Amino acid sequence: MEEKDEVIILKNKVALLESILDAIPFPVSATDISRNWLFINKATEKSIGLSREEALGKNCSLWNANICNTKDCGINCLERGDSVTYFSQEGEDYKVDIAYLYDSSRKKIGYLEVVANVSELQRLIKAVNEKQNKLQDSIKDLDHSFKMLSEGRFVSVPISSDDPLLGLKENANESIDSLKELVVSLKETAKSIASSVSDISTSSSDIAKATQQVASTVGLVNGQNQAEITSLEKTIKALDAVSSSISQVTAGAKSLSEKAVNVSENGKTSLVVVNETEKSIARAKDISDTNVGQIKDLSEKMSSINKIVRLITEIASQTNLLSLNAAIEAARAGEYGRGFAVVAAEVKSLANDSKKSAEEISSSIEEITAKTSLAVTSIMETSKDMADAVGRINDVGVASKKVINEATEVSDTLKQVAEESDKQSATLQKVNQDFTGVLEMLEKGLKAMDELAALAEEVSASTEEIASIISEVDKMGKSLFTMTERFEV
Amino acid sequence: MDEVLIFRLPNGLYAIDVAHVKEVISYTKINSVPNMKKSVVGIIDLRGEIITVFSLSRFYDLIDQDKSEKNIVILHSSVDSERFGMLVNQVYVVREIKEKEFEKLPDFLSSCTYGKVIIKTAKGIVIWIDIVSITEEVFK
Repeated sequence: MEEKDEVIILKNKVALLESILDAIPFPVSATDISRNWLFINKATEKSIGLSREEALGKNCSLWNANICNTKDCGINCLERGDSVTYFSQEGEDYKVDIAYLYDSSRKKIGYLEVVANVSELQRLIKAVNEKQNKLQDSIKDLDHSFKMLSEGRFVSVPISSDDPLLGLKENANESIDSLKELVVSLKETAKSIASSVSDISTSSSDIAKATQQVASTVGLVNGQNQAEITSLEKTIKALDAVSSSISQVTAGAKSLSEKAVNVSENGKTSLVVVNETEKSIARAKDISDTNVGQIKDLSEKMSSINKIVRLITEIASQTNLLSLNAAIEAARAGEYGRGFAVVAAEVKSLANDSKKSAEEISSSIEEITAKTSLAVTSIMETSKDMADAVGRINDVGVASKKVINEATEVSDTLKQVAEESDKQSATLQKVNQDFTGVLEMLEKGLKAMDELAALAEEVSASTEEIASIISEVDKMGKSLFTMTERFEV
Repeated sequence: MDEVLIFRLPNGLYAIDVAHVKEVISYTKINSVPNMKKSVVGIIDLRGEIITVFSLSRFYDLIDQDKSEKNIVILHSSVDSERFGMLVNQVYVVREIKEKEFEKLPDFLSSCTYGKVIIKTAKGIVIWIDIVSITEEVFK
């Protein structure tokens, strides 16, 4: 009666252990030392397509895995000291953990195989590897472009739609483009300054002083621009140095801008001088106009003298006539008129003298009038020359204004360069931020790998636990078997 | 001894007896009148007295291109108190003429010029004309 109770208890225990093993969702199977199945759980039945009753006592190569009957067979591996092997079946990957089974006297009585489907895990690893490779390729792309940049070549970073560093690359390309734009705009600025200068140099030689100032300033501009370009190329070699170089560019542009303003100031001064000269000439013209007026006055006076002379001539001719009539009267008076006739002759000769004098005065006045008109002509010519001079001085004024305008233009362009440089600084800061982003991503990748390793360790640990449970089950089964032998049934 | 008035016409110097001369005036505007004889120019108003003026150049058929101011010699007839004006180019002088200074004019010349004698002066030859015959011829 006691013994029967003990059997029932053992049977219950076996049933419990069997149901525990059946509850495990992956295949667990045990064989004896000659590799014939002692036990398979439900998951194993499903995997090999045999029921427990059909499988018991049959050779485990009936599993028909691709490692069965090869040196990679789990038991062969264990015999070589390797407790883990892998096989593939129906497209899935499996990991096999093998352990020895011992009896109560620590004698090897068989093997335990725990099979785990590792397809998911491997897919995960594969995906991680793929991602890692893509990340490396992407970093190589970036590295190449920056290396090119350091050699002074603007090569865009190639971007694919699934690029892990899409944002970073886009920012890098933006930086490269704006660097390129900056260099191009600096070169264009230098060119436009050079052309402006040639315009200025063709201006009137009268403003040679102002032109020389512009030319020397432009020499400075060119020099400064070369320095900027060189410093930009250096900037590309070392991203860190870029910021300071850009500061230099900004400072240089500002100082140039100030110099251009100086040129503009000088131009304004020369404009003032030109205006003064213009006023002086205008005054000289006024004076010469006054001269013309005075000469005209003089010639009017001459013509009034002429009138007087004509009057004198008239009087002389009247006197002449009078003397003739006196002579006629004297003739009529005969002897008595003789003395009177002498007076009449004297009067006649006086009249002739005054007529002659008047004629002389008249010819003198004619001469003076001719000379005066010559003087007026030459003064008119001088006046015209002065008008021409005023015109030329106006030209100088226009040229000066042009110089001022050109200088202002140069100054504006340089201000733009300074603004562009400031923008560039901001872009470079963004590149630095993106680099920090890459670093963080790489750290995240490493962390994921660590987690994977931890997961694998956990699986391994649980497998060992299962093995020890199985060996206990086996022990119990054995003792149950021994007990039942004692009964005759 | 005679005294003559010497004057100029377009072709030379002429003289008349000063006894026929009332006075010499400068040129004044001459008013023309209808139906006049060839030599008559017109009439002038001399201090309220109307005087008929004739041109000696026209009387001699001389072409006058001299534009300078002319003189009018006022003559008075020896017979009556009637007066005439004679237009000449320019009156020069009243002179005494001595007998040894003049020569007789040839007959054929005398008839066509109404000249009496030729006076030889330092300024050249002067024809002394018979002004009484001329005025008779002009106003007959």
